[in-house]
Amino acid sequence: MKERMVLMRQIQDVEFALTELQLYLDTHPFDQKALMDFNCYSQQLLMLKQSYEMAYGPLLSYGFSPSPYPWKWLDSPWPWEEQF
Amino acid sequence: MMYTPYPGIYPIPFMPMYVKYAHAYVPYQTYMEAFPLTEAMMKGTLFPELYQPYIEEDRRWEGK
Amino acid sequence: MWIYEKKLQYPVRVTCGTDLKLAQYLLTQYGGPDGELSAALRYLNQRYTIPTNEAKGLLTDIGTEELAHVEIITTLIYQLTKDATAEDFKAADMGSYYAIRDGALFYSDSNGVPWTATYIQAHADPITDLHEDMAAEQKARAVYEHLIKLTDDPGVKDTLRFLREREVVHYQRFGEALRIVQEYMDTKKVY
Repeated sequence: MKERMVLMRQIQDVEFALTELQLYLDTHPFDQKALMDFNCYSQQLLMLKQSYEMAYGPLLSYGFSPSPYPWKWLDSPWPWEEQF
Repeated sequence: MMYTPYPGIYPIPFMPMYVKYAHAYVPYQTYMEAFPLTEAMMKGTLFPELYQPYIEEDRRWEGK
Repeated sequence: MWIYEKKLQYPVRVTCGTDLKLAQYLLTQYGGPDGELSAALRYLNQRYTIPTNEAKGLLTDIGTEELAHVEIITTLIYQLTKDATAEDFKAADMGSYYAIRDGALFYSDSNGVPWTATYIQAHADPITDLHEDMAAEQKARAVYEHLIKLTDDPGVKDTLRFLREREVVHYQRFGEALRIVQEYMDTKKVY
């Protein structure tokens, strides 16, 4: 459980940086440094999400994350029930 | 930062060259540095220049 | 289309347990005039008439982030109320809320005034709509400051500070979107 939390926190951190860069890029579409950082964090996020989903089930719905048998979507805690 | 040839209105200056009355202007940000990721999350922004925290002046709940 | 991600944007923590009064105060950022639901719907609704691509992107992306903030607010309220009994509601002088809904949520402000579409505006004029959005961010920032003053719970304060700072960042971005619109108008470029 503790390990899941650590991984979740890492995903939150990286995704937050990406949210910030996404909004910045919307008004600065030609900023190369921002775009480079965005793509770099995007790679990191991909890897973090893969390791999370492998161990604890899908993060995304509608087929963006595959599920082993039985249907794993329901297993991890719902966001509002999470204890940080 | 690395503003190379752009189309149209870019690059946009920090403040407009010619300001007009009855117009509102926000300075245009340029991305320089970023907070470390965990710190960014805790602060609510990745950008040090946008971190403008609220300082509680009225501390009426303390000392009770 | 939107895809749900089973994760909170921010690691929400309630330190001091059940606090019904605080939950009631927070309710305004759920279904109140300057709340996160109003914000999300305002931005997503303005996308169809805003002329610049930059602003279309921004309204989509900030509108989506506001939906994540709705979930942060409901998580705070949920964790502050989940263990409350009918007696607790009565003791907090909230028996009238319990009578109707028990612990269920309702889109209203702290006084129970239901959410209404009149909280949000769209006029198609990009200067007008971006000013509405910037004003909305300032109003939400002020409300978060009021809420920070109203709570002693360190975890809740922490989360409110995060949400308040997001309003500051969003204000900056809408301000930049406004600058872009002004630049287009100055160059008399047709968009």
